[in-house]
Amino acid sequence: MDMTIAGVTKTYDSARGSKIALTETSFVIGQGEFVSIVGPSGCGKSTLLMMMAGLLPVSSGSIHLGDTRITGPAEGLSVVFQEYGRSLFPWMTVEKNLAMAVVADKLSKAVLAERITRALHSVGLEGSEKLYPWQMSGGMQQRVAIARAVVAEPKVLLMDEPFAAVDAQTRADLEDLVLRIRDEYKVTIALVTHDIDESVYLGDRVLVLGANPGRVIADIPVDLPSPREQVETKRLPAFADLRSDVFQLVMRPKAPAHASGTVAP
Amino acid sequence: MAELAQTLNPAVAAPEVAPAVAALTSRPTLSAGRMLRRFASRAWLLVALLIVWEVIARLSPTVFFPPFTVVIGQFASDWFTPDPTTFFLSENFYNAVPISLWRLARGWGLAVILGVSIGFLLGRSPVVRLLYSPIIRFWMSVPNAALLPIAIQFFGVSEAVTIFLICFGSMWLIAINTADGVSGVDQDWLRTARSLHLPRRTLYTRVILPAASPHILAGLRISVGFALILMIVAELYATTAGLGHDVALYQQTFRYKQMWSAFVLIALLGIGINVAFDLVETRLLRWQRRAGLASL
Amino acid sequence: MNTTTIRGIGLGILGTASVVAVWALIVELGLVSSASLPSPFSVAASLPVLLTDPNFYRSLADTLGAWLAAMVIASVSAIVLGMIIGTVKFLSAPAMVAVNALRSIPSSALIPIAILIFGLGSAMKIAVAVYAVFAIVLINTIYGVAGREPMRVDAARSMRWTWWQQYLHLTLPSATPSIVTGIRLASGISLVVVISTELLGARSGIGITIVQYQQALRVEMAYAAITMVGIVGVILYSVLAAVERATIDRIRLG
Repeated sequence: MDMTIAGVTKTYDSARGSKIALTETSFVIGQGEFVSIVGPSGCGKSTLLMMMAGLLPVSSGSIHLGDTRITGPAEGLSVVFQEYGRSLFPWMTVEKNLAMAVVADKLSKAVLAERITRALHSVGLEGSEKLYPWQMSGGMQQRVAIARAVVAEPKVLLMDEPFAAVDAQTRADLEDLVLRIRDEYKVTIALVTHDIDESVYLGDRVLVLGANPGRVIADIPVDLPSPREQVETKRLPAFADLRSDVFQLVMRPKAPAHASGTVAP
Repeated sequence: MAELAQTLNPAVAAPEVAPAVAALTSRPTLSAGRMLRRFASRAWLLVALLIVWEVIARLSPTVFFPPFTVVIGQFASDWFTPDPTTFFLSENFYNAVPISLWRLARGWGLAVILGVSIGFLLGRSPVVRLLYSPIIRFWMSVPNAALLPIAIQFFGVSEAVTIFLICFGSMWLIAINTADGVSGVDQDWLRTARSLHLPRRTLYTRVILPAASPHILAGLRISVGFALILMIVAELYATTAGLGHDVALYQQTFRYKQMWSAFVLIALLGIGINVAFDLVETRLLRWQRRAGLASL
Repeated sequence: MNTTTIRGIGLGILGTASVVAVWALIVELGLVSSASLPSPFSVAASLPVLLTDPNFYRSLADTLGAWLAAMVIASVSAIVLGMIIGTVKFLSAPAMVAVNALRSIPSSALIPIAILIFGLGSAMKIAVAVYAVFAIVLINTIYGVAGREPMRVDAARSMRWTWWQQYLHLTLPSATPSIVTGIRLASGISLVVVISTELLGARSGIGITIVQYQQALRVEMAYAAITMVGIVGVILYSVLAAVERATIDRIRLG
């Protein structure tokens, strides 16, 4: 099912006056698509993702998952947060962390065990059920966070700068892991990132957001072959072009854009 | 729906750097109205509790708990006069409060000097700390009141008794907090100082002391409240004047309204000291950012 | 026990011995009259007399019983109240203001009132001790709840946990280290307060024992009793500090 964002804005009112975090934003994410959302600081990309997750109310407009309107955390949506250390539960084992992700679905013991095993297998952490998060490295912990998100077998996976807190090598591994997850679970993914290379490498589409006020300034289809590969894909001239287009849009939004598939501001 | 996929927002001016910087340096002006509203939003619970006190005291009167309004009336007549030359404060006030506060100042001041010095030694040398922490914990477990007869035997019935009790009771708290602060100084800072070949004195005054200051100030703040309590307790039994002495006197002569009025004054003194501490702490610790719980 | 702990204990004994040595020196040199400060040897000699007196143990049990009752009452009520206040957003800041304002009245100053209301028995001791430590556990509980990591709260919400699940699996574990610290602080203070009530007028307990010895001018026995009180306090502190460390290790919020 598609995820539709229609005319969404987010305004913060305080005693000091109103602050517009996001203006009139509309786009559609088709089933199975991988959308990268990229932009400079303050462009409202995390705000947008939190609204899509139902964790933040919209000020106006609406968000739909299929026919269901999103007014709060909904079935079919899973979130991976930026910092594994602050979103996993250190007093629970990996198994318990995962089990608590689907506590609202009231699964039978057998189904739950099977889901957990499958999720851990898909992130490459078989056998780690009884470990505690603090016993694992940063990269492993973020995998646990990803496993926790897919154990619910969601329709849409929302990821908020999930690799910002890991080093570059781990990041490359995790990027490929997400692509494999997408293939295995057949899930739609919206990934917010500040890393321009990552946004082009992973996405079927790149939504570029601008700041002051937050808004979508470009929606770029990524016409790179699948499956993506860290070395081969990044060698392609098409990758370099797309990358520099996105870069210019993010860093210098008024500069003229390159020819391939972008829309001039 | 496909056409929505290629949406573009109308051209807007390029993001400027200036507003971002301006946002950091400007500060919202706090109008009187806003401050009042903030105060009210925090104080309402206290006010509600006072109202409950009043209601209960009126409904089931007991001589031990006079209604709040009665206490306030007593408070006004005990400690204030219409005479502007004495800052509107009564004779009662001047008989009791300056003496008590002076004792507090001397006892606590001495505790700070001794406590910080001892704490410093403990913090700098883990060996010294291991040597003497049992003894320190021991002294913290002995109730001050047990030392009262001993103090009287040493110093006779004099000011020194109260000052000793106040000092002895609060200095261990200060020492332990100081030791925590000093031993917890970031190793990176110490290494940097060493690589810069800083002389001993500079190391202590410019690196260790500021780095340990949050902990030290926390210890000072807690100890001042403690010292206030110790002062009252010491004055209950071993003096001829002062707030604590007055409280004891009122209790012995069954004058509960005056006793409660003295309690209110003590509470206000405690709040006043805390507020003063808040101001000093905010000023001194501006470089240290504390998120989350700071709003409490 | 590893070498570090043994070393720690050894040094502790050494340090204590050095202080006792200074004490002995002061008395031997006659710097202070032995009527006010007996030598450590006479105090040590009095210890066996004290420890074989069944009255001593009865008094100690009385004191510790009152202490335990006060701790349980204060902790349970403060934790429950603190959890509620901590989770209801608009209550937290006002509650802190109210609590801080009401804390300034020393519990010891209320002892005569408490005696008038409760008499001279255990109820009075427990009441005063509860008053003294309730605020500490309450404040620590509120802090513990307020210190919940917001990202975890978001994670719990996104996983559609019920209110009770959030409480049991997020709020409670998050607040536990802070609560345990509060209980540790409260335990020391409540012991001191209970003994203070006894010194200042209760009918039974170790404090009364001390006063009786002082009044009978048996100073060494009084000091011996004070020493025992200190030792009990140190033991209690060490046990609770160890519990606190174990809890923080287990929960590993860092």
